[in-house]
Amino acid sequence: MTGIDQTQFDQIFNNWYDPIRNYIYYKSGNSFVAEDIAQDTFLKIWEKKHEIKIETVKQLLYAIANNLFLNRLDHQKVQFKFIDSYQRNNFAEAPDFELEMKQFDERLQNALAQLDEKRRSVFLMNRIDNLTYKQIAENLGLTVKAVEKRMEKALAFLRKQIDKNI
Amino acid sequence: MGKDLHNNLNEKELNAKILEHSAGYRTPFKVSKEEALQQLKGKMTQIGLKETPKRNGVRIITRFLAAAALMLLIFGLWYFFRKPLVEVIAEKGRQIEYILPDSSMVAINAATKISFKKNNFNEKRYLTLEGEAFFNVKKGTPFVITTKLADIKVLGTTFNVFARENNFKVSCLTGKILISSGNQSVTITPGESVMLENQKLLKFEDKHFASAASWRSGEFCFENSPLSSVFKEIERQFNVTFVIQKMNEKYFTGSFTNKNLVSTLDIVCIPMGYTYEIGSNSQILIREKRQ
Repeated sequence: MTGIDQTQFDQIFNNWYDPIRNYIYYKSGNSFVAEDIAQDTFLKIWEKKHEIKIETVKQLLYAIANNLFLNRLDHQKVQFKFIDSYQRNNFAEAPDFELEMKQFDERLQNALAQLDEKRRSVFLMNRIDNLTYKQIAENLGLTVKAVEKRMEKALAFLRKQIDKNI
Repeated sequence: MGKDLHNNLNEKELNAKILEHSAGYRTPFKVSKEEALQQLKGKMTQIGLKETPKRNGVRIITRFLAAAALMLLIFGLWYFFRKPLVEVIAEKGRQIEYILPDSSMVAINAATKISFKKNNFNEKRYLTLEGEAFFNVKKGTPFVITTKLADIKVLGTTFNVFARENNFKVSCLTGKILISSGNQSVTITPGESVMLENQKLLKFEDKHFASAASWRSGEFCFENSPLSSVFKEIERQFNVTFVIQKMNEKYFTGSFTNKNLVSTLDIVCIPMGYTYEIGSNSQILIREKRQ
């Protein structure tokens, strides 16, 4: 069946807005750009609502978002400002431990910023959005093997960067 | 400084640590999903208009009226659904004490603005600050203050923030405060302050931390502060403007109150070797005293 109605659209938005916004954040390291592109992506879906098949909408979302991102001219240096669970939950009691965590966090965020964009988005989709390799492969139109490879390479790069900085 | 714990980690352990730590990350964002949907609906309505052009003999005036009515409707919807932004502004020469929706207190110094979203303030305690303010934050979810140069995050504390032009300083009176700017972050505890210098966050023991918020009782203390910053504070407190003829950068140590302009000018000008003349329009002419 082709075409989606308003209720289906709302459903799609509800399920996919956060992952799509995050996906562009992983690429750009800029929350303004990420939110802007996420909205435009859904706008494009609405414009094409008569031609869309609900079964394939997620691949389409990722493809549109990626294209919008590539077509933007204002690409800046990637700099992450992830909110880490440690900061979110509590201010630590043990200062040594806190310092150590903070240093590690800083190194990890810097290493992520230097990681190749494609490997980074796969890595973070798995870690932050909790997507399985299979789901990531479906969303991005890759094979599971390719996703595994990107994860491996990402991890090796991060490890090397963090080790180098000690 | 303690030894890095992951110095001794092997490859496997470091992998596990990276995987675990990154899984705890959340992406920062400016608007919630609900707000994004509202904004999107606005844009979608416009597309809907383009898709159904009625060309069969409708008179121009009717079409115009329909368009006007629709615009009014869209505006109405936007007005209804928008999250009202509250701005609290203290003009020059005034100070305001304000109770936030979560019953935290903020004291706002002269020439300062704070703004926040009222609807969900209790869940998301975010506000922006331009100027100087003292906060007494009730315990609860993270309370985040955004300024031009840096962000400040606390859970429940009392502290003073000075964020004007290119100056940024936070002084901690009680509790614990996390300050971040760019990718640096610093935590301070009572008796400590942090400043931003050459884009670096500098933490230091502040002997004067207790008087960081003495402006609330109308007292302004300076220690070895650039004279220009002292004049700026006087301008804000008394709503006056200085006309300064040639000023070499000097440093001032002392204090004044915001009760009496003339005695304030005496306190600052006499030791610095300046004379002043209060003119019309609250203008004050400052001259260097002839030796």
